[in-house]
Amino acid sequence: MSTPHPRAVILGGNRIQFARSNKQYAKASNLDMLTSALDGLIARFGLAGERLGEVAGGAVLKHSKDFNLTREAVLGSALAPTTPAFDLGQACATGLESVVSLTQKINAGQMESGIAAGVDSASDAPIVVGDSMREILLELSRAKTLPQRAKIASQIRPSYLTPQAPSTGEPRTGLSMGEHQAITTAAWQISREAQDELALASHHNLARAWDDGFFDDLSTPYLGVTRDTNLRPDSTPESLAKLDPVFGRKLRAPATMTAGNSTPLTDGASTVLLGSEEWAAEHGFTPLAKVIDAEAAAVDFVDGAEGLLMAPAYAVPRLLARNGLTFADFDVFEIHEAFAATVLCHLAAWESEEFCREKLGLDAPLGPINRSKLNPLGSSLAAGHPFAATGGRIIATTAKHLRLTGKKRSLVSICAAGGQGLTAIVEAA
Amino acid sequence: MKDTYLDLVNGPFKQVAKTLGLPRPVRLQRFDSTPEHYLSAPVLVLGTSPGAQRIADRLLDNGFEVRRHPGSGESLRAVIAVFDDAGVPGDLSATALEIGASLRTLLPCARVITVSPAPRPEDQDPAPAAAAQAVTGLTRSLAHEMRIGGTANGILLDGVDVDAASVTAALWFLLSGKSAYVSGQFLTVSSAAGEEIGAREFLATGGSGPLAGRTAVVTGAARGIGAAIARTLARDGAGIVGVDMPQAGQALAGVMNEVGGRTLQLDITADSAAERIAEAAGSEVDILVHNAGITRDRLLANMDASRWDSVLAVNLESQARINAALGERNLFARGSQVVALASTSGIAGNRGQTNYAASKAGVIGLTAASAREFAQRSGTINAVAPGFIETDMTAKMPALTRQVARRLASLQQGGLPVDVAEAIAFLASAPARGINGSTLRVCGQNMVGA
Amino acid sequence: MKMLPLYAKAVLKALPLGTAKTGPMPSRTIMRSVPIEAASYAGFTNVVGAGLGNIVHPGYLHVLAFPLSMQLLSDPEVPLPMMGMVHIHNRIDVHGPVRVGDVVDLHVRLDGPYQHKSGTTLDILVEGKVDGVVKMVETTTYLAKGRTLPEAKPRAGIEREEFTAPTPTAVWHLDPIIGTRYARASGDYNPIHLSGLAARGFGFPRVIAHGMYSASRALAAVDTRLEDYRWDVTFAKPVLLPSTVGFAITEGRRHEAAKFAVFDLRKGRPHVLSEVSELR
Repeated sequence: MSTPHPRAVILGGNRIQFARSNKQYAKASNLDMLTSALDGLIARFGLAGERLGEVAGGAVLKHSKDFNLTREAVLGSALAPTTPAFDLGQACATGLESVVSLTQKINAGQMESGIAAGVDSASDAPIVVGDSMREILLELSRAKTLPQRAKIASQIRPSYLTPQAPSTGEPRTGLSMGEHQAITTAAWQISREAQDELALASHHNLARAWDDGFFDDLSTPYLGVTRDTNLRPDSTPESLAKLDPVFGRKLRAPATMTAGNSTPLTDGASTVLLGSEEWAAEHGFTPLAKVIDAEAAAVDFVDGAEGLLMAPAYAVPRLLARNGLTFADFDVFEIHEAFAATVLCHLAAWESEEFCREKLGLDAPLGPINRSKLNPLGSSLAAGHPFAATGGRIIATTAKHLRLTGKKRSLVSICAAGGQGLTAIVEAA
Repeated sequence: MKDTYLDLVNGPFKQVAKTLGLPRPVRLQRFDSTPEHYLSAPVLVLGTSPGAQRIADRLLDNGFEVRRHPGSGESLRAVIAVFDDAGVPGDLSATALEIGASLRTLLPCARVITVSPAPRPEDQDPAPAAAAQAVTGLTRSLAHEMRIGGTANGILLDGVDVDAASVTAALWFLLSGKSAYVSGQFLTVSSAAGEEIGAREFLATGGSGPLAGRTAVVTGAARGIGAAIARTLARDGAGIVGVDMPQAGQALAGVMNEVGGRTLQLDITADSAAERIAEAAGSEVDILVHNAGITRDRLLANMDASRWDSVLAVNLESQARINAALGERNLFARGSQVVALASTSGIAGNRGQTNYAASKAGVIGLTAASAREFAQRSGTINAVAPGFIETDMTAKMPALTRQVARRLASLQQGGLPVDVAEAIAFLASAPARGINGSTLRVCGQNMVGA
Repeated sequence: MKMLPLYAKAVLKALPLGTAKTGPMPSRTIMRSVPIEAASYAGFTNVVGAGLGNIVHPGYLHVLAFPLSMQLLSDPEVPLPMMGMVHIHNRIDVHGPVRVGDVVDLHVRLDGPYQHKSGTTLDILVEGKVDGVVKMVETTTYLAKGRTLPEAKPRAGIEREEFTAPTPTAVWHLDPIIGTRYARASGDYNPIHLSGLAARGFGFPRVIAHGMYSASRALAAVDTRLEDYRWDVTFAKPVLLPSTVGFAITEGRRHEAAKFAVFDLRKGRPHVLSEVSELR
């Protein structure tokens, strides 16, 4: 264990309902959404006017003006303006990293309370012109005469005007995340049916959780959105089977990844309230769970040695080994569904003797995961995936789930751009 | 909703309205504007009984200027007429006429308060019963005759004397701006329960306010009257747990962050509502305000089951179920006080609101019938019936109807959400524990409302 | 040195006004000292997607020597026309790092002509020294298609391996303006990279990317960390602009000795075949 007696406990969470990009939150900025999610959390716990230890948060798609995004959100929120904040970033693991980071600070006795946050808007993404257009604009600014300008401007092609949102393309490979995953999917021979089945389970589980009111004290509506808009409770195997593949169409293997088994671009924000046990008791808050330990990993995906999103496959065995645990010790597996295939590749890898021996250096495979323990309240395929907000969604969800069901331990795994992954063990408090 | 007419007759059209004899509502003096106003001008205490003297003494002790005889010509803040020993109707005459003689010297937004035995004809001899009932008629009619924002209300002594703590608290409430929109109404004090409170303490706020140290659960707190209740209870020192539908979460969070309260996103008709409320309140419920309500108006001929059932479920059945569940599981704290929202529609009826009026009349019945059980825990349950209150709901009325509805009240204007909230804050306070099972109308003496 | 007049001279030379001269190749060596300035170097790294570090990308050393090469090639004494010559192969041996701020003494001379199955080739030999120490030796091979010269010497051709397109580990979206951008960074204003009209004049349907652009970008992607290495480049099909091409390491790994390719995603045909091998 990393800490003999972790003091930090998860007390609750709040997120705004996630919405598909360019829909209900199209006009909302990261700052707007993060502030709203913070205010909902503050109101749930009656923290208006309080000074907390620190608020940590971040966004993957960030405007340059948002260099101090989280602090700005604190200033706009009901928290005491004397609450400090910092921004951090680990791509899609940003939300979880903010939880881990504040947990460690509380465990270290450095502070007593904090809010871990994450937000992303794929709608209000910072727009950058492509290199070519930038070149032309720079040249135009240097040109002195009208004919010169006209000549330079004549180089502009319509395609140059397409704004480059820093979306899911990997800078070093130019491949989108979906194309990267498609290569891994093909390598692990994950079938279309298996992916659709996982997506379906995600939608059904999330829909049930909403119907049960599970998220009533984990979410606060924003701009009139009362449920995650990507959620399709009425999805069927047939409706999913009708969708055309969108990734991996240029590969030799049949393309299997569709809009139905991949996460859409999503807008949203999430927050998690953390505090020391003492602080929680003083405030009369019931601890839900604790982050016991965390492990990050990264893979060299650049020349194709490993799949872009496979890092958690390496982080988990290290995390388990350090804590002397096996899959059998876990009641819940919260594996972020960047794509259905990402989850399935991980399951396949952990079941593969060859992979576990050669890549992980293990004597035996980690083994299978009981599907009924996997993402029991749905995950990103249904909820959507506002990159930095996903970690907070998962941590709050699984913490409450442990508390509610009396289950003991949850494994959280989030893959991230850049070949990274962050995993954590959450135990009931 | 802004009352433009009220603004105009208190501004550029003051003279025109006067000349034409149009209704001239005044801006009511509420708690916010003049917290200690009522200590600054004399109060006339009428009546010859020992009870009258004890009330006069108590006012003096609390820093009021007190007069015992009419006719000095001074401007008066209030007249308190004590009829506690009226044995026959003939006993009322002298004091009643003295009230009349002093009316012309009342300041704007003045108060007339009668104190008299509660009519209990079934338990009383005919003559005292007649006298007691007569005072109510006097008070109600006088309320209609009050001018420039003045009100007339009564305190009814039901088996208690004027020294009961809640009689004093009721006096402070009725004298203060907190009762600005209460007129023609009666507060029945039925037990000596309740904590003594001084006039200044009654007006204190925050940590020294009358609700300091207590936690209040307010349903339907996201907007309108519920938000005003949350703000007012918080002003008086209570910690707030605001409850509303998950869909109203954003507005609810805004109100709770404003008052430093906590949110509970909950459908109050859910089976687990009582437990969730108790959990959010921190194990036991102390103050509970059943404010959440909906309207689904239709003439009964056009009423469908969903309209009828949903209104009854939210407005009445949820209250009954939550009260029962909390009671059965001992989740009400000792001394807990519940205030339920009824409506004048539930008293006078309202075309198109059979479902709503049924639910609200039901609340009145539920409240009265639950009083004994609450008393066993040293607590209370009361209802407040708002009349025409300027909210989003009444803003949807047709403009002319709205104007008429406003002027029909003796105070010739609609009430504000805070007026309802003030009555609730009072009935939820420890000094008011002698008032139980009653329904207080906050209607400006009007029967139109929602 | 202004490059445009050189091309003008070359174009004139290509016109059928007189017969190309036969005889020995000019044997002189041009020498020049060039300081490596951060600002100019950054212009290069920016275009080819290399990190702006202290160790200079060998593709930039090629760029520095390029004007001297062109000066030699455009010499009337050269028996082959400069315009229309195709860059078919490039080899740079790197002997330790050249750093930003170094002054490189470049020695450039011609070698050849050699017989080739499709015509005649000639080499430009570049030696780059820093403080008298040889840091880089380059052989740039140009082919004059369909030309034969009696004096051309025989030479073993470079056998191209059979190429099967791998799964791309990266894709490059290349805009037409990439020609202009690399021209500005490299000083190679060959009109076939800038103007569709000129490109058609030389038999290409559209503007084509500089070969050394693709090659340098590929080397940047491999991000070699070797101290002494040989960087071989074989140019196959030119990259027409715009296009989306694939890149993959076919043997070895990033940072180490590796074979890699830039190729046509749809047809699977190679544009650039390249290899980094360690020199000991």
